Amino acid sequence: MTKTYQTVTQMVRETAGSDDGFAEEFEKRIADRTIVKYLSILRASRGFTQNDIAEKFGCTQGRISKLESSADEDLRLGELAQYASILGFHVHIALQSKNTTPVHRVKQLAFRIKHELDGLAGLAKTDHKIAQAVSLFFGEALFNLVKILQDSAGKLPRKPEDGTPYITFEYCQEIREQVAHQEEGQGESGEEQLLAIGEQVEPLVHA
Amino acid sequence: MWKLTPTKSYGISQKRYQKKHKRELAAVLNNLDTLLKAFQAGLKRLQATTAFGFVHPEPNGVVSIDQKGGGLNLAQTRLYAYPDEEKEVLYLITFGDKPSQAEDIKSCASFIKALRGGTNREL
Repeated sequence: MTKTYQTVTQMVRETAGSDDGFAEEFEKRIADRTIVKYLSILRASRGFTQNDIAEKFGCTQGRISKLESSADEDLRLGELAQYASILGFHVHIALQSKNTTPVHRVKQLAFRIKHELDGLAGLAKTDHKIAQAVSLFFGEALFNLVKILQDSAGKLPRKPEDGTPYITFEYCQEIREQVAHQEEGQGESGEEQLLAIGEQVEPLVHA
Repeated sequence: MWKLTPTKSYGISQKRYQKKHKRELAAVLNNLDTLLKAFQAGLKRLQATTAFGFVHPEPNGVVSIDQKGGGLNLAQTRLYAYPDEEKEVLYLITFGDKPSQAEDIKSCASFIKALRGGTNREL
């Protein structure tokens, strides 16, 4: 049977053997180029050539080619910001302790979500139309967060004594009706999906 | 999700390059990694051949991936691959250099013919 691989590093690891260290060196080479590779893929997927970027950068195509084939550690912050800006992105830098645990990361993200939600609430000021739109979005956000928690909790093992889950999250009747309404709209696929941001839904909770 | 399927002749040529042209092999495989990730991100074959300088269009929908960006003084090396956009499979056909180019393209044509006819024993 034909062997297939999800990644090039997986293929190299399984086919190159370990005698000459090629696979290890190659894996390091790929790991060292995560950001520049991402940039070049982003560029390509947005339909830009290296020449397009060079024009906006005010440099030669050769310099962009060099940037895209360099290692991440050789990338200058200014270049990264300019490149991202040309593609229509901002750069966010996150410094994380090496000892950060998954729990810390979830907490950091939760604070980040709170900060963004407060920002949205602040947009409304005294405008009731905006307040209504933001409250709709808050309902969506709650729905999606509960769905994410349900999904993750569903991956936990069951209690050994009686096979029941350690934790469950349930929607109130009003939200259950909304879920049923959403599932009806999913056609035959039956796959559960998160509501898209900005999608028009009835309010799930009252703000 | 795009996947890689190396053929037997690819496997043989990878071993040959690993023995004698390690730097070229690493450079080409690095570019292959970029191309695969780009396909996984939704890029089409035609877009790839214009967006990446290391990807070249070849007959029969085949692309060749060269060693560009891999360092100085590398010998010209090409990996021939066939992106099946319907099945989302990137078939790796063979490695070659400049002198073997014409022969490599012929091998690719035979591979594609057999693949489309469902009689490929190379896999």
